Amino acid sequence: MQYAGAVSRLIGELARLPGIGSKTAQRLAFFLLSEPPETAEKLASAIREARERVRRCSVCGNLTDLDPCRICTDEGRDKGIICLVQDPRDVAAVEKYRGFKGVYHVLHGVLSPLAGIGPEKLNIKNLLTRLEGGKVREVIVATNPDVEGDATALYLARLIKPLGVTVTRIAHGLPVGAHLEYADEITLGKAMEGRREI
Amino acid sequence: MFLNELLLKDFRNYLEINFSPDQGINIITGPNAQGKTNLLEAIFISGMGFSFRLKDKDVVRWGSEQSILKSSYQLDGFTVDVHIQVKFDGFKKILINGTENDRKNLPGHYGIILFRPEDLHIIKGPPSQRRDFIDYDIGSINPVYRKLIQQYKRIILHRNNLLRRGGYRQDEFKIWNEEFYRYGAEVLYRRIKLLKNYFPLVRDIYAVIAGKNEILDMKYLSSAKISGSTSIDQIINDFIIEGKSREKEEIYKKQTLFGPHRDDITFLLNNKDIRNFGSQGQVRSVVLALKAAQMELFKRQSGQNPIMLLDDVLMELDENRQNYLIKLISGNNQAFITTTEIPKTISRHVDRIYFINRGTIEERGHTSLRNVPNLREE
Ligand SMILES: Nc1ncnc2c1ncn2[C@@H]1O[C@H](COP(=O)(O)OP(=O)(O)O)[C@@H](O)[C@H]1O
Ligand SMILES: [Mg+2]
Ligand SMILES: [Zn+2]
Repeated sequence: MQYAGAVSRLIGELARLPGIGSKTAQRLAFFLLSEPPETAEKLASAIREARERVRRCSVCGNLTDLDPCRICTDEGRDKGIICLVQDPRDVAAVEKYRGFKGVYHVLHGVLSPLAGIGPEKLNIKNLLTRLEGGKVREVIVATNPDVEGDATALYLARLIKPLGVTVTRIAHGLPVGAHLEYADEITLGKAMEGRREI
Repeated sequence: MFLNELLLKDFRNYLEINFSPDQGINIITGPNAQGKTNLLEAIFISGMGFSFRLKDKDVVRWGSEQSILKSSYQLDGFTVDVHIQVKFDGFKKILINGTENDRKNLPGHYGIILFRPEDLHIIKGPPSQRRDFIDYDIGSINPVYRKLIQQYKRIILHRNNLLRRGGYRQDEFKIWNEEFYRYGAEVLYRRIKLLKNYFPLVRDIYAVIAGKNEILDMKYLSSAKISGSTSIDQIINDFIIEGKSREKEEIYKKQTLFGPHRDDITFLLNNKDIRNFGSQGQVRSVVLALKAAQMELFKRQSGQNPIMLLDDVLMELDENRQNYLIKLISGNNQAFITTTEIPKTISRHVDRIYFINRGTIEERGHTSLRNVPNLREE
């Protein structure tokens, strides 16, 4: 179906969001346009404000409105253990399991030649800087247990081990192919405890 | 394993049918283009979760929103209820015993065997047909193998992508090489193990079908030089050597040139390649032996008698082979056999006859055999 320029642009932008198809995008667009103007304005300013304030932590790469982020500056956390995850949602997933007292590093992706993602596109340089300090004892690689997550874990292990840091891999406790994001606290807890050196 | 009930709504040319087949041999007969193959397709989808024809969404009856397939299987002592919904845009939902589930958990993976005229391509077609037959038809019995194939193919896609685009970093390429060798070796190791169980069955069955003068042999052709297949580590070492010697060629041709995705199988009859020297009848016999051996392998590994779906293959076999096949099936296996005629060699083994006409299904008892058109007199 064809709509006037502004409407179809709105639908187009909404449809680019993950999990939103063209039908849902239409529904959302018409909802925003039929409600009073404030509804749309509130949403627009919330998006703008969040986008302006939230940025990547210069230490760990997680999304934050404070740089360095609260986790990186938390005195009660063990800076000697870094949990390496593929994106910010995974930090939230591990945080829900309260047993982890170390800090994080967010890669913002995994190796995937199919998607055109090589090591240079991942947040690896900052990780190496953190490790150079010599204070880090262990890096727990918590990328998803799929082909790409495994290759990334292997790549990082080859890179990090020569620096004298222990590299372990979780996810042996996770069901095969399950993504970290969907793991519950119990399975994640077991996966953390059952981590193995790679 | 048995299919006890099948209900179809808006599936191909079926508006709505409810079908409770016999646990023995079911003949599906009727004129051409009335829905015989469609019915086998429905059984196949209900057990496997995908069609043996091109696109799943094509199954939705023209003009309808969605197809519904409800089926009830009996395995050992318990029942498995499957509910599948296919939308006209291709969306598919699978419920097993009332809860949403993945197609890999459907009962058909170790219990449904399809046999149709196109299977001659296993012998006559390109190597990919033989690999797919081994990996998906024979290998489907083993969930670990199925998963492994899927992972391996993805690794090859990644590696080929690197080679195609070039300009990658050496340390990155090294990782994909390592994954390729590791997974490739495991696929090869498990595939050869699978074939070591399967080939002897095929050979023995062929001897029964064709007599002692014809000796069938099957050889696995590896695209890499392999010194043996006794351990995964040994194969990895062979792959590393092969990889080094073919690196330049791979970079030049921009693709992965060896590994289990490039291997093949040859069928030799008295030491001559059937592809070049076999008669049509010999090729058919080999395919029959492949399917019969698959039946036997599935039974040994899962303890279930698989359900046999035979689409239009009966009339292509001569009387001896019809006899062999029907004797093999009858007594233990549930079978669905489509045919335009019921040859007299098999009519006494038939448990039930269904007559299909323009998307309707009608049961014709055994006693009314004589009333079925096209039926040969006993
Ligand atoms: N999606 C569909 N909707 C309605 N009819 C279909 C659909 N797909 C195929 N058909 C019809 O099904 C018939 C073919 O059925 P098929 O089972 O292949 O025949 P046969 O009895 O010869 O095996 C044709 O008449 C075709 O028009
Ligand atoms: Mg047909
Ligand atoms: Zn931080």
